[in-house]
Amino acid sequence: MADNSISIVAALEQQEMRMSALNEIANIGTGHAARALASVCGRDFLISVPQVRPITFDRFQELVDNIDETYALVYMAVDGDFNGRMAFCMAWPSCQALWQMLIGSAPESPDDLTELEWSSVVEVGNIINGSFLSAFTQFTGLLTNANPPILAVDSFGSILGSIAAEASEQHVALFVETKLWDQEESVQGSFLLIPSEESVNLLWESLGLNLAA
Amino acid sequence: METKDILLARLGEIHVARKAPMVGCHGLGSCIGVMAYDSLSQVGGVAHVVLPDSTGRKDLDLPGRYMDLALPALIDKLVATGAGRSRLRFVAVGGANVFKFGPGSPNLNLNIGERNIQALRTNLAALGIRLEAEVLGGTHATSTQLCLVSGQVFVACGSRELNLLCKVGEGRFVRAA
Repeated sequence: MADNSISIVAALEQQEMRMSALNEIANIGTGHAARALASVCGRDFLISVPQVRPITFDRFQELVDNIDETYALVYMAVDGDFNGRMAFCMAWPSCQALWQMLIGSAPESPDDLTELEWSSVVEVGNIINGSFLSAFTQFTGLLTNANPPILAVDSFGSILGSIAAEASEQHVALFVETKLWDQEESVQGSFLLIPSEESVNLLWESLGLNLAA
Repeated sequence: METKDILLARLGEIHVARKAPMVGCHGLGSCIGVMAYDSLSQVGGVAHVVLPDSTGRKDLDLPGRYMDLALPALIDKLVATGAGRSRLRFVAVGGANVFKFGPGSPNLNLNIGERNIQALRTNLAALGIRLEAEVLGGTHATSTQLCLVSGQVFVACGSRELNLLCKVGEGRFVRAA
């Protein structure tokens, strides 16, 4: 009985250390991403302290209050030591504000985007995701390689459902609840990290947190 | 979008009811919402199917997750709730590809919507079932609701509002894109 409770406490402590390591990685990654966004948009971006939230795919659509809300997600495959999927997520009004900064105008409706419109968001998402990943590599020593991204602009529920199917080899996502925003609070974004199972184990190993596993 | 008094199936879920409430799926991307309805008993249901095939998979806890398991599971539940198997009429919505802008890379599986549609047709054919109405494929998300009193199916495509697609049981094939 005593042994059992000691091991439960140890497991919980380790769980806590793992979560705080993830939060720290998310913090550094978001910081890098904010600097990258600032250099593209020519204005400063602030970040909130990120909160990493692990969530299984079946409960994916609970991530937002309203799954019908339109979002833009820049989604990419990541390979290397740490592999899986990654996405940068923005609600539609944020995406419109980003367009205003990048090309001086924004589409009214997500149903008809011009190539200039979608390619500019793909490019910015690519830069943001890439800087997040480079921070990740600096912190963990695990190599990551970002692949060319793809963009969806549609209801958040439908995009998350599509990701659950696309990345179905994996079952758990780390939702990095954070905010990158400019002085006018016009652009806000968050991240979605979907590591493969072996990547998660490698991650704990690289951080020295795999002892009780 | 009206969501009061409606039983929405989330990823991999199946919901079946008699008369009330409405059943449906919101936020279908590559997933397919399969609905079935028996107008005599007013029993109907919906499955929010995520993937085409359960072969070799271990996560079989949710019967609606894979197309090959979802259809028999949906039918069994409907029959258990009082539907007549031979009176069931089927409508399917979804199977789109919402990731449509940009280069992407070959290591992304971006044809899941298409594969879900194929699996739907193969599995329905094996069960001897024909769809009464469908809104399948394309590049826009869809939402759908089935009224269990009237058998009316409503569909919203992209950012548009819900519109009447068909009244199940009228026997008129309806296809919309």
